Amino acid sequence: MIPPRVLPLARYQLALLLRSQCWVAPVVLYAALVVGGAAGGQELGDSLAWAGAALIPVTAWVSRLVVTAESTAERAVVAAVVGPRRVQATALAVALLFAAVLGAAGVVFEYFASVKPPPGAPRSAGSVLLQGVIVVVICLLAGSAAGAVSAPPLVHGRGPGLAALAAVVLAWLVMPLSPANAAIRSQYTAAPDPTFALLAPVIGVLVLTVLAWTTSLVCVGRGRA
Amino acid sequence: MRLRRVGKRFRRADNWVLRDVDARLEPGRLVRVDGANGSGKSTLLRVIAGTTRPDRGRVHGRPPTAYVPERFPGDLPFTPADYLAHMGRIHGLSTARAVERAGELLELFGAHGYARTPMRALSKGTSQKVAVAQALLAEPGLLVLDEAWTGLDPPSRAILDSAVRERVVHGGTVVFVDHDALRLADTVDTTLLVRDGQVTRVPPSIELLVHGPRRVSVPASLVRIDVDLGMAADVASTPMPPALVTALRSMPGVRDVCPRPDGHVNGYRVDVDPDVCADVLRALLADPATRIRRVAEEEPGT
Repeated sequence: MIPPRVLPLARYQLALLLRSQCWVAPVVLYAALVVGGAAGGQELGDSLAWAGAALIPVTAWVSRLVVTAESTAERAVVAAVVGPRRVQATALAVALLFAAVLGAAGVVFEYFASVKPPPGAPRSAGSVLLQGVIVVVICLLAGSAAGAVSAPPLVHGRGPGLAALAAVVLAWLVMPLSPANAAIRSQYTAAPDPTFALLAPVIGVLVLTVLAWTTSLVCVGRGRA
Repeated sequence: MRLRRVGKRFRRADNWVLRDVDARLEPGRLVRVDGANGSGKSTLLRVIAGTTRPDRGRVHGRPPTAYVPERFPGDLPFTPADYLAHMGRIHGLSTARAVERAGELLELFGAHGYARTPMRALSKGTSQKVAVAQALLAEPGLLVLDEAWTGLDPPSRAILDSAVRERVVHGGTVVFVDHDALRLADTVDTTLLVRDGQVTRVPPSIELLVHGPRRVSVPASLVRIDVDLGMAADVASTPMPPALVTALRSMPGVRDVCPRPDGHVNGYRVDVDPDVCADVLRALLADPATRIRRVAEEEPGT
C-alpha cells in the first residue's frame, strides 16, 4: 500500500525533524496549552475540545518545520530520487504522524485530568471520549491543511510563511464557517445529538485538507530552486 | 529517456527559460551541457533530474536518478555517515549495504576521517564530497552532475571522472555541466548547447579535436591547428621559434609546423594526423601561455 522508498524517506525526514531539535518549541507550546488549560474541574468534553484547538497551530507549525527542514539543494537531491511530489507528500504525512502522537498524548492527559460524566449521566464517558477524539482528529487535519498552505511551494520564506500560518490557524479557530470551529463549539454547547453534529465538520475538514494537500503537491517542483 | 517539447518558465510574465526542448538521452552516453551563465543549463539539468517539473511537454522514461546540485550547503543535522546511510536507503539499498557503500565512498574520496563530524562543521570541499558520494551510492541509471567537480580537490576530481566513465560503461546516462571545457572531453558523446531557451546538439569541437576521426563520419585526413605560442613581449620580435616548435616537429604524426600565413609574430600553423591530434593539443596546452586560435579538419594541400 505504501509506495516504494517512502518508508526510508519518511525515516530520513523524521530524523531531520528530531535531530534538528526544532520540534522542541511546538511540543512545549502544546504541553503548555494542554497542561496549562487544565486548571482543574473541567468536564472531559470541554477539555478534549481544548486539546484539539491547541493541536491546530502545533500541527501547522510542525508541518512547516518538516517541509522546510532542508535547503532547496538538499531537497532537490532527494527529489531526484523519489520525485518532488512524493517528497512533499511524505513530509506532510510525517508531520501529521508526529502531531497525531502529540494529540494522542493530549487526549490521554485530558482523560485523566478531567471530570468524567458520573454513571447514569445522559452521555457516558465512553461516548464523550469518542466525540472528543473525533474533534481532536478534525483539528489535527485542520492543522495539517494550515501547514500545507503556509509552507513552500505555496508560501516561500519564513516571514510570509509564519504570517500565513497564523492567519490560516486563526481562521480555522474563529471563523463560524470553519469545520474546526464548528467541531470545537459542538463540544461546549449542548447539541441535541453531538455525534451527528460532528458529521458536517468531519466532511468539511476532509475536503479542505485534501484540497490543501493537493494544491501543495500540484505546485511542488514548479518553482525556481 | 526522452524530453518532448519541454518548456519551463518560472513566472507567467517571464520569458521561457526552456522552450520546446526535444532531446533523447540514451543509456551508456555521456552528455555535456554547455551555455552562457544564466542560459538555463541548471534548469535543464533539474528538469532532466526530475527535481523541477516542466510547465509544458513531458519527460519520459527517466531511469533511477541521482543528482548533484550546483551548491550543496550540507546544512543538515547529520554526520556524513548518517546522511549517506539515509540517502542509500532512499536510493533503495538495504541499511547494511548503504552503510557499506557510504564507507567505501568516503574512503575513496579521502573523507573517511570526517565520517562522524557534523555536516555543518565540514569544509565546502568535504561537503561537496558528501554530495557527490550520495549520488554514487546506488549506481543510478541517470546521473546528473551540476558542476559537481567545483570545490573538489584534484584527486577527488579524478575519482569523479573515473566514476562517471564507469557509470557510462555500465550503461548509465550521465549528464553534466562543468566550466572546464576539457572535462571528460575524451568520453563525451553529445554536447547540448542551451541558448535563448533553445537546446541544440552542437558538434562538440573539443571532443572532435581530441578524438579526431573516431567521431566523424568522413575521416579527415588532416587536422590543422592554428596556435599562438607563448612568448614574452620582449622576445616576440625574435624570429627564432620557441623550443616547443622543435619539440612539436619531432612528435610522430606531426606533418608540418610553420609560421602562420597571417604573419602573426608568434603565430604558427601545425598540421597533424587526426589520430595524434589529442597528444599534440595536450603538448600545446601544457604551456599555459599557448593560445589555440583555431582547430579544423582540412584536406591536405589546402
